[in-house]
Amino acid sequence: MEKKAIIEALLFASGEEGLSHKQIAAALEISEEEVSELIEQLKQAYEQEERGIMLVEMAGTLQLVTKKEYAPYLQKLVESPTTSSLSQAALETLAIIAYRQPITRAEIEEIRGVKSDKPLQTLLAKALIKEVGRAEGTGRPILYGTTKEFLDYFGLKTLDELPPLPEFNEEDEEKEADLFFEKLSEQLTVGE
Amino acid sequence: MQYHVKLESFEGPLDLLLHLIHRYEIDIYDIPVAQITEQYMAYIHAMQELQLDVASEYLVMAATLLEIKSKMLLPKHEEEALDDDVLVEEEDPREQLMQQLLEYKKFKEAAKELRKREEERALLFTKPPSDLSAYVEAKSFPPLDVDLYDMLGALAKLLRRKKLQKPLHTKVAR
Repeated sequence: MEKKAIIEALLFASGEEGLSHKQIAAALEISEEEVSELIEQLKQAYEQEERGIMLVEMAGTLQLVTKKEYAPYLQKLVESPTTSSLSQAALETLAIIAYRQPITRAEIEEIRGVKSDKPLQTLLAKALIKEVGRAEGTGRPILYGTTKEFLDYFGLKTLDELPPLPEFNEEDEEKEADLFFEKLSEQLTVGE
Repeated sequence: MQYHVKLESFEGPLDLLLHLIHRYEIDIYDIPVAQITEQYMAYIHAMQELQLDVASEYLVMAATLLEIKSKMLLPKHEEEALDDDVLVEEEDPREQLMQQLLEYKKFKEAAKELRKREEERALLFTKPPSDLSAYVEAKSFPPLDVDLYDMLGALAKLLRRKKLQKPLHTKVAR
């Protein structure tokens, strides 16, 4: 019955690397279903207000992290400057790759309208993207895709968790406007 | 002319055009090319006056806008209109630019969403893995199956670590 305690110990020792369901199941010699069940119970136990850490699933691994409401206190302890966030150029490039992968540099540049070597270099060095092959065709250009670190960096479980890409089209906007005016007139008549 | 933002804060000509479209409340589906070209050129000229770096892409876009403007102003070929059998639909020269702007705008929004998540994630603190080397039995391991990206990933994780203050020790010197 101390299985939950063992899982907690394993996750504590693994720190930022985290552990997969599979690794935990292998260490405890139990089924992955049982692990999922225990994880659920652990998660709930951490939900309580007097706990400072919680159990999250990011990039396919389970990790123990501090709760975000306590960040201001932790920041008081921070000594070395926090790592800088991504530049706008890198972030835009990354967004394009995240939604359109696998994608070539030329395709990225076409969407952005500017050369994109530098942001690509930054993203590669930060291990947020990697080469995932080469496109068929003349030039055989490199294709880029996102990595596990990308999921971790943005706190995502899987790529499916990416918010849907905003769609703009004229009809939708018109419809929205119609709906707005409809509602407005409804409210006005009710008001009368 | 008065400007609020310097050129460096734009991510290329598409970004600048979106900014102008937003500022002058222009309908993106029906861009008044003459007007926007004028504003765009004024912007570029002001930047050159200040000797700020103007990336080459901005000049290419300036040429593109001027081309579209002249295409729209000059009379169309009469010959095409005479051909009754085939209804040649004159393509809007602005169409491609509009599509490009819409596509770029989409990812600009998506990047904003990612920024929010980046900030939120930065609020969650973790700890470096514990040193478990003492538990390693002294026997040879099969080579690990890792590649260059695993190395970059490991380094990126390391560099993201925040260093917290160590407990203070005070010694009294005699």
